[in-house]
Amino acid sequence: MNTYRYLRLLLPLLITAAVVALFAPRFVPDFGGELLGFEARKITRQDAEIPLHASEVQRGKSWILVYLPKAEGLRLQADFDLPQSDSGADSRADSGAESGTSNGANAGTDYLLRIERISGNFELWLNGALIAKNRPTYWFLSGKLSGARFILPGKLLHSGSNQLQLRFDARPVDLGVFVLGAKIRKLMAQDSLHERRNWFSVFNAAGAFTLAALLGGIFLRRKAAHEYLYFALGIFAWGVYSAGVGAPYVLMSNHWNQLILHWALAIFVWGMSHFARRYCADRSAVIEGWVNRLTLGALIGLLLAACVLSESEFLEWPMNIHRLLLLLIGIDMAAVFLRFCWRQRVPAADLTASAQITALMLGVHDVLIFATPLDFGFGSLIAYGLPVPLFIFGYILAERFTQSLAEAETLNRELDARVMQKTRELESAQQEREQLLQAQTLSSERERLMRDVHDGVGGQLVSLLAQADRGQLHAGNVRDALDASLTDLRFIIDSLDEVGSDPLIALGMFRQRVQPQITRAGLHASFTTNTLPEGLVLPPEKLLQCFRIMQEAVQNTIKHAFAKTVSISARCVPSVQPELLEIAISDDGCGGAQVASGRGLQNMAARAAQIGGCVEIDSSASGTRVLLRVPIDCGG
Amino acid sequence: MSIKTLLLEDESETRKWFEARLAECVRVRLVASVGTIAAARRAITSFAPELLILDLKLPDGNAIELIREVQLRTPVPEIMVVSVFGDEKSVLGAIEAGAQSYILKDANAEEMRKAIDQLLDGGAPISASIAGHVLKRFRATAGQLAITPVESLSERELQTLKLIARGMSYEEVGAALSLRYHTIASYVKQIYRKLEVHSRMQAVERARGMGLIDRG
Repeated sequence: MNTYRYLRLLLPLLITAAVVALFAPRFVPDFGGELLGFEARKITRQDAEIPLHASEVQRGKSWILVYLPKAEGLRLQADFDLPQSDSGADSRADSGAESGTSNGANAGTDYLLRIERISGNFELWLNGALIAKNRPTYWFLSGKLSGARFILPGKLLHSGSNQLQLRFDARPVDLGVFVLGAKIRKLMAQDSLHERRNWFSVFNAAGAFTLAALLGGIFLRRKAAHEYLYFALGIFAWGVYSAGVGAPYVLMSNHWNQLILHWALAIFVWGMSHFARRYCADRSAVIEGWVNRLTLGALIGLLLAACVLSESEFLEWPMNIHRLLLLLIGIDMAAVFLRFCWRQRVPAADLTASAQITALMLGVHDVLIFATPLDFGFGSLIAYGLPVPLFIFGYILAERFTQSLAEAETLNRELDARVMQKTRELESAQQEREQLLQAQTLSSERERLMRDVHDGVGGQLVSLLAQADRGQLHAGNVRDALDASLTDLRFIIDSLDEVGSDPLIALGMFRQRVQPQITRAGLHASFTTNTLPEGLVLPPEKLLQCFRIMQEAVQNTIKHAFAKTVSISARCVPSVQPELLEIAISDDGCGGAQVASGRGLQNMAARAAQIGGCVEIDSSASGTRVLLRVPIDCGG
Repeated sequence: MSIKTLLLEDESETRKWFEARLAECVRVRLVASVGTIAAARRAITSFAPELLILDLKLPDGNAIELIREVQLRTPVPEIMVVSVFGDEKSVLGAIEAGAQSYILKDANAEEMRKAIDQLLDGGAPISASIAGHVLKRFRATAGQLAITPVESLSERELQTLKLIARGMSYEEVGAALSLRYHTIASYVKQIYRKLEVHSRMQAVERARGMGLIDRG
């Protein structure tokens, strides 16, 4: 463990210690040398009206518990004498005019009454006049002199004997120490900040309500994070308390103020404990689960009981138990933090734990002085211990928020990068596939072209060469062979055309190739191809074979049939599966074509078989009909 | 009033054959017969021929470039492309460059005369394959180019193209659509012109896509 870590752990403690040392008053300030003290004492139901007698000032162990029985019209009364020489620096200029209003001469100086602890609903009467009801002039919460402050107006005070009466409704009270002093300006200057607190508490309340709404909103969106609900409830209660205490109006009885304050503190501390646990990722089984709920239930039950019991004379013991419970929760929280920071070694964790322990120590101090007979010479110190942990708490929240944002950004960037990489991979894979496909297509087309040329033009030329070798070359034969070669070459070229796989257009192309031949031979040609539906697809190599068969049939008609007309028709036979393309070439010639005898006819049948089709030849005296059937649906 | 004609053909036998055929045609007068694009350019400048009969593949390049060039002349000469085997894709390229007619290298005298007559009478030849390609060309770019109705194919032209693509002759198309022969022929010529405009627009669009010309 390095030095910096020690520093981190000690820093909140040192800061708080410095603040306490500098600002928390350890001494009873000068009341002008004319302090009047009252010691409250335990009174019973029987003495419902008990005068409180002035006694000496007690600077040491100066408090006593007062249990008041439940009874209406309960009063504490103090008779006190003011010194005669009361025209000092503090006496008012118009003291003469004022003195006429009361019996006896008064110096006209305002006095200040401090009651260490006051709770429940009350009235303060001075010499038969009501000067305060349910709330003090102002609260002063820091230091040993914390408590309710009441200004006793000089014009109501007499020289000599005066009567101060504190009337309660049915609430038992622990009043602590009464202090009465003359030099109130000095005190009020010291308290000026706390006077402003009257208005601050209104703003505090507004801020607390806003914060509570915010935290409640977080809880509603993230129901798993219970601590935000506790924060929201605690801060809401704190807001109610702030709106009720110190504000320049009366919202509720003092009694309720007290209860709400305790409630707010309890829930807030509980929320902090949860948050600590979550932040530290602590899963200790002892405190989690049903124990957790049971503890919270007990806490709330106790608070409710306190509300009910406060009607009775047993307020203090549940309140003290409640305080001790808060203490236990706080100690548990501190333990969790401590363990966590020991493991985590994160600066924020160190600071939080340290600040929490500091606040806890001050809280322990406060609980001890309120709930036990101990006194360390200070008043309530928790106010000095709260700012540092609250600041650190805010810092951690901000840190977590920015961390989450950064994480989200990083994730986004990574995701973007991954998407881009995947896209690139897909693109290159696609490219490779396309190239492969292209290469395959190219190679298969090349093969087909070679085969087609070999089958058609090649055969024709070889046969021509053989004839030449045998010396049987006649001009007519040569012309016919060349013509056939040229026609076949054109079919091959047509079959390479990209529109060549549309049977409609391919048949159109065939017609334009063949029609001139037929016309030149003096025959009439009739084409009926328009009956084919649009959108048929047949691979070009199949169409090429079809055209070769058709060309052969047409050539046969021209050469052998002595016909006048040749008709070529195509139709689609959709009734059978697979669909058939049916092409008929018929003439009105002499017939007599036989598959067995003619090589051309055998050739036609072989070609048809190659593409999965068949050729039917029907030759009679009234003409020849070649019927070619090709399945459309196979391959392609 | 014979038409001044230029013949561009690098193969001497074929050129002689064409010269002989053209000599038989009374409507045309051969003013120059050349074998290279460079010579053709010179001849076009000096003779201003009204009809060009061009082979596409020449020793000094492809005549498509020449076809594009002469589109800038006034008046634009009629252009007939000589095609071997009807390799229609190159014919289609020539049509897109501005040619209006084509003739097969092995055409006989009658076919040659008919083709020239057809061209001079405002018609144009078309084969099933070319019609199929033209159809495909217009379909592929449908909706992609900002074509005005004038530049896109009319319903009648589309029907004509479809029938021709099925191998029907002008006469048959005319019978099917109840149109006169000359109307069909002029439709085809119109379609070629639209195809040329179309391909020019496509080129412009492509250049815009590549950022070579500003949009709008």
